[in-house]
Amino acid sequence: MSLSVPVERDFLGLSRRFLDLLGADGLGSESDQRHFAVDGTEPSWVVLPGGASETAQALRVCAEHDLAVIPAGAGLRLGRGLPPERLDVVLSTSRMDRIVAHAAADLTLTVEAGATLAAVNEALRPSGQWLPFDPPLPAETTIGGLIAAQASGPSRQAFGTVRDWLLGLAAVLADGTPVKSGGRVVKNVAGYDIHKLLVGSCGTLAVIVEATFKLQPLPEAKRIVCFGSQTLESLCQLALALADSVAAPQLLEILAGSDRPPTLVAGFAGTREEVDDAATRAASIGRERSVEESSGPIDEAALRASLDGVERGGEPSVVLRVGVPRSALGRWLSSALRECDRVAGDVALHAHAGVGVARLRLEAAKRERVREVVGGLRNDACASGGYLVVDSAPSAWKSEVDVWGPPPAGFDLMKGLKAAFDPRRLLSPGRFVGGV
Amino acid sequence: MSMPGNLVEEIFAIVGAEGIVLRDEERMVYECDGYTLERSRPELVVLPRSTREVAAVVRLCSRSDVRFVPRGAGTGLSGGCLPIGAPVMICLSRMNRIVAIDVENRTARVEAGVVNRDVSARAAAHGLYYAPDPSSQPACTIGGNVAENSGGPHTLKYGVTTNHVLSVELVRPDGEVVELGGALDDCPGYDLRGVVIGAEGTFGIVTQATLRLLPLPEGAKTLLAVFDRVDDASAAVSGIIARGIVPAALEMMDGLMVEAVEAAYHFGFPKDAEAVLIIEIDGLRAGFERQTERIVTICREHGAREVRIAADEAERALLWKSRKRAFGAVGRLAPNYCTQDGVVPRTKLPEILRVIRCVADEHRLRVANVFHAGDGNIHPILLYDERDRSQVERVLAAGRKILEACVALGGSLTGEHGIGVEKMDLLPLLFSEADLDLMRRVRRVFDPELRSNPHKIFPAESAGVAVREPQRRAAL
Repeated sequence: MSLSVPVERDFLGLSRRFLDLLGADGLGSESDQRHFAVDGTEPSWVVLPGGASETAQALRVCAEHDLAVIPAGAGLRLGRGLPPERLDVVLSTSRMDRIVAHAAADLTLTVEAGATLAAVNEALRPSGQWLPFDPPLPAETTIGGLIAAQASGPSRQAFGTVRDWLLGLAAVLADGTPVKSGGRVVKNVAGYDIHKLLVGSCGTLAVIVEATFKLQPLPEAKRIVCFGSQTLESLCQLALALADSVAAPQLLEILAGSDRPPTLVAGFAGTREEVDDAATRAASIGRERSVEESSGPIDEAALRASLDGVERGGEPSVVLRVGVPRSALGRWLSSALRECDRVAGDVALHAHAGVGVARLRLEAAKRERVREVVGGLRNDACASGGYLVVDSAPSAWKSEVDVWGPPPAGFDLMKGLKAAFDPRRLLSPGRFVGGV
Repeated sequence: MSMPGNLVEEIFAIVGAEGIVLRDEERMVYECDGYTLERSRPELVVLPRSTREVAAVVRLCSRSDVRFVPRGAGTGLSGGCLPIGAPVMICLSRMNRIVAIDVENRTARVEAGVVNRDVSARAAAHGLYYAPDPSSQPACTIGGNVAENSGGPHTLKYGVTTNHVLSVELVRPDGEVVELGGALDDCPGYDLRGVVIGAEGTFGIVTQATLRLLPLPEGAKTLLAVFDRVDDASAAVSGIIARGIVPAALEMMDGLMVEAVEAAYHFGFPKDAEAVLIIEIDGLRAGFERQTERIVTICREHGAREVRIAADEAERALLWKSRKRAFGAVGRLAPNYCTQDGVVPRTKLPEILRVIRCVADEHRLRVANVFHAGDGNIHPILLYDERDRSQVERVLAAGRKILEACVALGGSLTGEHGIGVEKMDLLPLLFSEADLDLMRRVRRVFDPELRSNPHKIFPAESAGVAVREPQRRAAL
């Protein structure tokens, strides 16, 4: 016993330290370690703090011992990014799932980072309000994960992304320092918008512990109109016409794939009168363009199921996310479908067609061809001012398939920001754009 | 502070005679913005015509170890472009080209000196408009809007500047030009554009921006609700929001303000009203009738004595002119005024308005209120005469009290005007030393030598500046 290796001794000593700090519920089991494996690497510890101050204490211990930490929520989007340079601890906020304050008459909500979007929206429903985000798999999407991954869904058409609704954040830096930014009121320009930096930062800057949002009233009525066409491009053009019309759709989602002809789902929300009027106008805009309402309409549940199916990556599938100026989407998608069909057994596609964002899921892809196809599609996307990100891919492929693409303009500033937040590179080291 | 001997000549060589203001009486125009309690005259004002010229001037400043301050139209209300320890002012007003309107992608590329209202005016031909509409929109520039993250009456439904700017071109403090942001809101990488917006010019000079445009709604309906009690009007605001209605705009004016506005613009406001609400809904006309009825009912339930609906576009335009030019009417009430910009949760409006009344009484000041009630963003206008030093001191003290009360009620020091120099010493009311330290570190990432708009926002950075009332922080 006295001969145990130093690493082992650290393991036991630190495990005890985490147990003392966080209690039995605060230290994950071996099955948690498997669940929170990142790109095939299991963390030595999974810690689950019960609140902001426990998070700060746990991070201080990690910093003291130079442990690399990957922040997580439920673990759904942990596969995003490059394989970590090193990994010791996954810190999951999943036990921090309380609604801190719901000021219904102010239309604001303060919530802990580990609450899931589904649970939050369920809790808000009786007051006739919601957090207007509908990314895939909301029951596995925590608030912290939603922010860190800037996850979005079809309603992005009307409501933008999480950055447009986030009023303030509480977070903990890698050295255990608690910080906050913004506030709890709907308009606020005091100090820098530090919280904007955490949106989409994939756990590389700080651990988000609490967030405050503006809320949106639930609509009185909703209506879906579907259009079918042989060509993706004509549906994309119809989507733009609808987006620019006074009908103001809440979502304009195109579904397509190897085995399914493209469909455009246009969703409208508002008062009954607005929704009826909007649906009538949408149908007539379709007719003007000789695109027919489709016979087998897709309802909201079917749309959600399809969206979830595209998002839930897993080996050996590859999920690509692309953003291009919306006028370029039709052409890009058409060529992307052709290209992807060549390298994969099955391709499924979801596009927020009024925005210019799409997700493609490639099943049973041929590894050597994926790299080539991703490179070509990325060049097309970047040439029009957009981006292509590999949201999910088998870990072993990430060394071949460029996950993030070329570093963006201002990359030196991004490296500087990483150093300002996390000078010792303890948080998700090496996972982000350009290996930040 | 003074400039190296040949810097003026070198800058002259870049921008020419038209691009330089040296004469003392001409520089006087630039000694303050809309916050007139403090003044400081720049040694040199430069008016570049292009990003290239801005970059060249900034490079020269950097090489000569001279700090600079960017300026748009000077309509700011917190002294954000007051030159303090920065002898060179770089004024973007001649960079006023709308570079391109991309109708297909609903964006506009504009230079920083473009006037806010000109964007919507140009986009209207394509059925589009730019949503953020500060009251100063006939004068204020997009560059200034980006610096302050400006709002306006219609931000209640549509959001503020940061929600409508896709990317910015930034001349960094060393003169390097970089484009931050992209065609979409979730381009890979940290949201650098997001943190530059609202940084009050402390990260460098924004020279161009790509703006998101929205399709013009089918129509709008504007209501005027008249109340005998301010508290009733405040309660009606909460009532509307609480019933799930988010109007396009929801504005309040109190009795004193109504009186001044009526004298100036003759809309037909009742002169004896304690408060009026201007409520606008927009979108599909099909929804208007029932939505309007609901709003009228809520206002009546909260004691409105009269609810008028603008009969036509002309009446609606006059109503908005009265609201947006309210500040212009204040001149009828007093020789000088100072506008505050606190925020409270909207349910706390009755409380903060009571605080404002008490503080005004205590400090023997008259205060008019005109503000974005739907956002909880108050704009008490403190009236004074700058020739009376005691009044000036009371205005400063009262302003501080009101902002402290906003923070105590869970709000903020500023909703859309910025910290500038005006509220630097109050920032610690909202943020801990650790929060401020992180902000300072972020600033140094962009501006390691603190060259761009120095001595702003952060309390410690005011240390080298004289505290004198009323020009308490005029440059040494």
